[in-house]
Amino acid sequence: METVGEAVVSPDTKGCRWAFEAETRSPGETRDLARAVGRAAGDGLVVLLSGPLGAGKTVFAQGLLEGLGVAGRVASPTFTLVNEYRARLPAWHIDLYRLDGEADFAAIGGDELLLGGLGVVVVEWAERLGDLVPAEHMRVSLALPEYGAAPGEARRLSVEVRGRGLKPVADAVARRLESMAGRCPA
Amino acid sequence: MACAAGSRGLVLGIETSCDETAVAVVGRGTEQLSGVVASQVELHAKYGGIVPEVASRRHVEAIVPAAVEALDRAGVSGRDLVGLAVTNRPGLVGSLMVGLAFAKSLAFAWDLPFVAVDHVLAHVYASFLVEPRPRFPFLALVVSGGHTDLLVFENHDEHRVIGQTRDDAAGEAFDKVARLLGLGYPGGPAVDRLAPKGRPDAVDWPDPRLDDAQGRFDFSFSGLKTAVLYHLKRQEALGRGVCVPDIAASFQARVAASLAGAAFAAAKEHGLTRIVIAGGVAANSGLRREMVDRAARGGVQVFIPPIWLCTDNAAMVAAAGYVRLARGERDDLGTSVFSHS
Repeated sequence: METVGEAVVSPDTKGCRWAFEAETRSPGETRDLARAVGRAAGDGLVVLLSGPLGAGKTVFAQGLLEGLGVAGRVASPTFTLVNEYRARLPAWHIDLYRLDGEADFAAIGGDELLLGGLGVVVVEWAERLGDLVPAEHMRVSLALPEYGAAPGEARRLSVEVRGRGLKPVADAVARRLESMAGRCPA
Repeated sequence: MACAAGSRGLVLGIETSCDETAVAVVGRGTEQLSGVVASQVELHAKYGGIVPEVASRRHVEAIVPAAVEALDRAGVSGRDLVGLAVTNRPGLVGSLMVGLAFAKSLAFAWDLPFVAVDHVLAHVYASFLVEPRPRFPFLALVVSGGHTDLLVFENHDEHRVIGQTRDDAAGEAFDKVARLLGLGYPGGPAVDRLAPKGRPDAVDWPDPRLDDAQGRFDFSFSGLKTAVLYHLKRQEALGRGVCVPDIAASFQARVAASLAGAAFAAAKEHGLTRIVIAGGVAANSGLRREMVDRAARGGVQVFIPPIWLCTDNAAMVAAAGYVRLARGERDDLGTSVFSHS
């Protein structure tokens, strides 16, 4: 295990899996981390976001799409289910909040987007996806700290990047966390 | 007879952009003859079978029975229509496709013109279906599960967005706060029912309206949702109980004051004396009351559609489409669907 500031990097299982634990102190920091991912993203990147209401999933998705070069607003897809963007790469922002399971997800064409290898797909409430996940993907679990244990806006992030092709994304996350680790104490 | 029918300006409206399969017959863009909204409840009762909540397959199953029923209830047939209007944006591409393909098929088979309509703009036309009707220009506030838009309408063709949400829509905030409070789905009506039992000033919530360099009349409802979450956590950590009606009442009051405040401020800034509200959140009693109260102070007239025209329906689509059809405009069979406005 190698410690990068507050981020614990457990590399390697043969260069194909990277895991990070981090804490962001504000929505702005979560967004910055996501922006770095967006800038490093290539075709076929699937980002699975999970965590309770208010954990910052949409903030992460907004940052990621900004990093990809989406100009203009990125609104929550909770009701629209899928929002489509044209940027450096095509991107789809999906929200499973209102969906029941894999059958509903397939009904909105989610399985094709997820397994199609085209553009970037960001999925909120990804814990509802079940097994319908490509081998190569990035998983970000966001958690709210216990009340009183940290400043109200702080979030715990567990990031897992799987697949050799996503090394640039893992590197970007590592770099970003390293620079965050150098910040002043709260 | 054909002439007389034509003069009634009957348009068949078709709406499949989200969860509802809706078909309606409207005369001259102002008189609703029939309206069918195939909600899950109705479908289960009438047609039986399992209806997946969002599948475009659901629209496929519902669209023909809904259209037959809309024509039956209006007592008209395809021969009596002057055209068709159908939502083709924004929404789920697969769902929109069902409505558009159906409209094109009817247009081709019955040799009628059809026009494609924007769902958000169509919401505004709900107010043209009841008296008194708004005159142009006016400000429109479209608030629903998926939209929070302030628009200036100069006339039927010229309108521009002057404010929007930067994250969650207003209706989405209602739904998620209802979830946090352990109330049922859909959250808007659940919060609305509970609100009269609580104190509107029980909690001082942050204002979801943003007024900065990015936009004078923008909103962020995500922050308000998170504030409710923190409040609940804090009360829990302090070992205090939570009075759910108080939260519902104060949350609803905050949203209503913010939306209405922004609408009236925007109307003033743009020199408008009429405000039209539309969309599912326009059915919220707190927002309706707030709009009426502010209008009573004078200077601005507000137009609030009846509740059944606030939620998704096809009459508003027919009303919006009639304007173009009446001018002899039509879209061609190559028209497509779009996920964005």
